[in-house]
Amino acid sequence: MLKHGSRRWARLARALPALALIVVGMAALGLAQLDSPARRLPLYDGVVVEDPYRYAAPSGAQAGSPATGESVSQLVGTGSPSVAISTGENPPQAQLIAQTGAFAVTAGVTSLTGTLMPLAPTTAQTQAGAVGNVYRMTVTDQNGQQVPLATGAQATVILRAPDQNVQVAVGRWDGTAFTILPTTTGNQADLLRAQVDSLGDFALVPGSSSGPGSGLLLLAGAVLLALAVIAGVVLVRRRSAAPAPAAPRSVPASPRPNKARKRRRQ
Amino acid sequence: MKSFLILALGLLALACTPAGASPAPASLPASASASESFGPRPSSPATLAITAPQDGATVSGTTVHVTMDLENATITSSTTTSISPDQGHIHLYVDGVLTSMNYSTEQDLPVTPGTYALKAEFVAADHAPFSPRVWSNQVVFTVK
Repeated sequence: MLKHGSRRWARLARALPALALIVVGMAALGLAQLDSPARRLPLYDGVVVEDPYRYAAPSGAQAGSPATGESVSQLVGTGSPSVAISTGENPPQAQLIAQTGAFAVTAGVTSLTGTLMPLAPTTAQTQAGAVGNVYRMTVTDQNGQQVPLATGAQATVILRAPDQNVQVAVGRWDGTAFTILPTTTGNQADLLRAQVDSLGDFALVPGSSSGPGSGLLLLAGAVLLALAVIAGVVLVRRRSAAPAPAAPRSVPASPRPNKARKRRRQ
Repeated sequence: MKSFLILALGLLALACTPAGASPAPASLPASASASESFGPRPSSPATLAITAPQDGATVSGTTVHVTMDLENATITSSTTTSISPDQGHIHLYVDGVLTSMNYSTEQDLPVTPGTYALKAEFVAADHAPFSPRVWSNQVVFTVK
């Protein structure tokens, strides 16, 4: 009975540091609550939540009402100004970026208006594989006349993918089919970039993209590296824990004195 | 013993998370007004301009050096909910994506070849925007 009680005390004594740690943790928890009451506004520091993808023709639980994008640039001098238009979501679902001089402006043009209009894919576009909205990208002058890209000039079209897990590329609709454009990933894996030499209707279509900005590739690399480190640590630990090679049979090995046996003898 | 330690460490980790911090704090969508998401927000006398790279610039390399000119306000290094109209931080957006949160008016951004749109916003010390929002000019630059 006495032995049993003393064993309990010994167990409790061993657990004391952990219990003390729990008490310290609870105290810290209480202090943190006092210092930062739940009603106080949170601090916005580093984590960004994306808006859901907004569909022009939503179905089921999909979000609707995609934003348009518009930008008016005044001409200074003879060449066209830089153009950067984006739709209003966070991050934008469509963007058009063009450097200075990219548009073929004629005499009398005083301003350029760029517009990004989200459209529900037509039946033909859906059958052609359009993923998400179709975006009509236009640049017009002050009279509403289309202004094309200058010969040899290019603009950057960026479209956001509704689903990061689907391989897509930027496609330009030619009236009957999508022409898949060489596509790279931008700042985020779901932002697809393509260089275009004319404006029109663009959408994401099944295809592949590439680029150093691919977050998925980086993530896969990091996971592989972590797995390699873990495997290495496990291997080293196993090797160090392996029993020493047995002594030659001709020399009888002297057994190590067992602590328990020693105690019993005493 | 091990389970005790794990429990204790878990509690400590929980204690180190302030109750007021949202597990997924949101940045304000570009389309929304500041008051929609944060309630009434103060206005700021600050003006912000990107001075480098210049609009239309072509740069080379793997980073682009961004410099800004901030007037009528100062940058504070502390993040706090006790905000002041003339103190805050700078958020940099590349192609509409929040890319860095600055505590100075200079920053090196990693870039790859392509054409980009860069803009900056002066935000309050709690990283939420002022109302109206304080945006810089937008700059388009190309990396070769």
